[in-house]
Amino acid sequence: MTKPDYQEFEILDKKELTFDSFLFSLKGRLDFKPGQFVRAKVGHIGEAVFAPCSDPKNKEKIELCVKAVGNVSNAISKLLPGDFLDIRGPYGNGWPTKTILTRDIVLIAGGMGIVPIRSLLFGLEKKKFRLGNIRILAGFKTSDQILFEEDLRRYVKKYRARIYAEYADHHFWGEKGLITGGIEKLKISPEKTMVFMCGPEIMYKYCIEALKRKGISENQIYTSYERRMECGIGLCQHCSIGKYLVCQDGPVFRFDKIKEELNK
Amino acid sequence: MAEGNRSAIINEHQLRQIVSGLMKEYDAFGIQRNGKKITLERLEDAQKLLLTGAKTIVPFKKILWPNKAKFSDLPPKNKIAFLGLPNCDATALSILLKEFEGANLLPKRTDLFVMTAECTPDLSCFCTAFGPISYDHADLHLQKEGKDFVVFAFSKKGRQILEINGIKIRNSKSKLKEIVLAKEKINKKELAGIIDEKNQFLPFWEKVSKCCFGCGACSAVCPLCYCFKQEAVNLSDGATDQCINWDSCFSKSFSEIQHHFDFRPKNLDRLYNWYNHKFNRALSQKNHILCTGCGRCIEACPAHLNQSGIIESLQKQKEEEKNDKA
Repeated sequence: MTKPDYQEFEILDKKELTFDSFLFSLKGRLDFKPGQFVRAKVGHIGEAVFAPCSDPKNKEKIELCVKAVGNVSNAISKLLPGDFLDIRGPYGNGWPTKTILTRDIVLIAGGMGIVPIRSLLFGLEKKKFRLGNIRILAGFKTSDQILFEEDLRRYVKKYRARIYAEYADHHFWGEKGLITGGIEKLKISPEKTMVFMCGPEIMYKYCIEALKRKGISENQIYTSYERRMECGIGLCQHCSIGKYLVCQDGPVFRFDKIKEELNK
Repeated sequence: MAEGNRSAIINEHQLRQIVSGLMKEYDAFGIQRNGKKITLERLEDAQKLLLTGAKTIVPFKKILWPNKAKFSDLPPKNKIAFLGLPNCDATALSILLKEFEGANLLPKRTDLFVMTAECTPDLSCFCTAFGPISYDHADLHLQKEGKDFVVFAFSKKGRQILEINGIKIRNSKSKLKEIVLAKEKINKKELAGIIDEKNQFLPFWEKVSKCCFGCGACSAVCPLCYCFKQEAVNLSDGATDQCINWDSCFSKSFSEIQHHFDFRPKNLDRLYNWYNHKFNRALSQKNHILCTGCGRCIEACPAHLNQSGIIESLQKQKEEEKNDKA
């Protein structure tokens, strides 16, 4: 763990995903595992946490999805191709991909939670022949906040993914409702299924209850807590959850291990 | 009583000469009287150094790492000497350096010189609660003996300074004075276990948190509270630099993330986190606790909470529970 060291990336492309979310393609290579996160810095404002959402094997570029909700993300959203972005990381341990071979896997993403799941799926799609079934559930607050629509449509075709929006307009092509509804409809063999979940923490609570009703136990569920991350180098203590530090021991934790620590 | 390895008896004049020498070689910070207050400040005059091992309100931490310190300015470029510290602060300095090991934010121990002085424990001190005290975190330790001082050298650097000043050190008969405090002994591992069982002692934590104002004064004065946040600072040439600024786990902004989601909304959780970090998380991750029993938190608390009393009562409650079961 050492003092932050920044790497400068040139913005190659900027794509508007929704009214407040942008996909930035950055020129260069970053060795990261799906589920790991980086800190992106913007001058005069500060830095914030982002999870790369591109294929980790891509040596030409990395992609960052930025939702303009805070000072830093709003400032980054104003950047244009040709501008530069300072990035440090990656930090954390990422999704435990080695443990999922030959098992069925359920990926649950809530809102921006789709971001680290997308980079995981690039790898899983390639390894499909060694895996069991992949099932995807993605939920969004409103239908105009849906991210990576192209990819999601592909997942719907390929993996029969279910896409939910709590509030939807009549153009919406997915299902109206909450993501927990999708869990109820899952047809899975609980004993050989693993669940990876990323989204707001309130979603975890209801999803885990629904998963338990499906016969999935807590040691089969992995949850990500990257939202709590601050310094990334295991020092500032902002991301502490009981006896763990998200940036060092996480951000992905097996739920039975982190459950007791969450209220500490 | 511990045997002082290598020591010498020096008079006050020789001591001031050593201090003057250190002031030339290092950025020297010493314990000084500042009006009615005792502070740790840059030492301009060797005569001003207090040699009573007095405890300052704010410890050394803000010298190693000033408010809004830029990443580019850390670690401090000059060598630093801390003079006249009480032994608990020298121990805290060693622990802090261990916590930040490899981070390249704090100076290396080789770039620091620490001279401690025999202290007079006050009512808030509880340094003996965690076991025997070791003095070897300092390079030199001073002990008053009549009008003179016994100086113990615990490092090569300490011995060299004495040699440079023409002081011969030998295996003398002088012994390090033991600090005796009427405090309950605390078993670190047992305490960590008790703190880990939050739900079991929830009524206790609730009671304490109701008395706590959540002001964070304890974390501001603690030599081993080092939580920080990162901020951007504007430079005169229009560029920006990242800086680290002191933070407190009691502040609302500490646990608040996007969309105003606060993962420790209650004062109970924040207070518990303070104890959990110091006595449980640090012990499990780095094998030391983040407390040396200096008692600054007790003195600073506007709600008159006694932190050493709190951990003692936790331990007693556990014992009572065991006895009840038996």
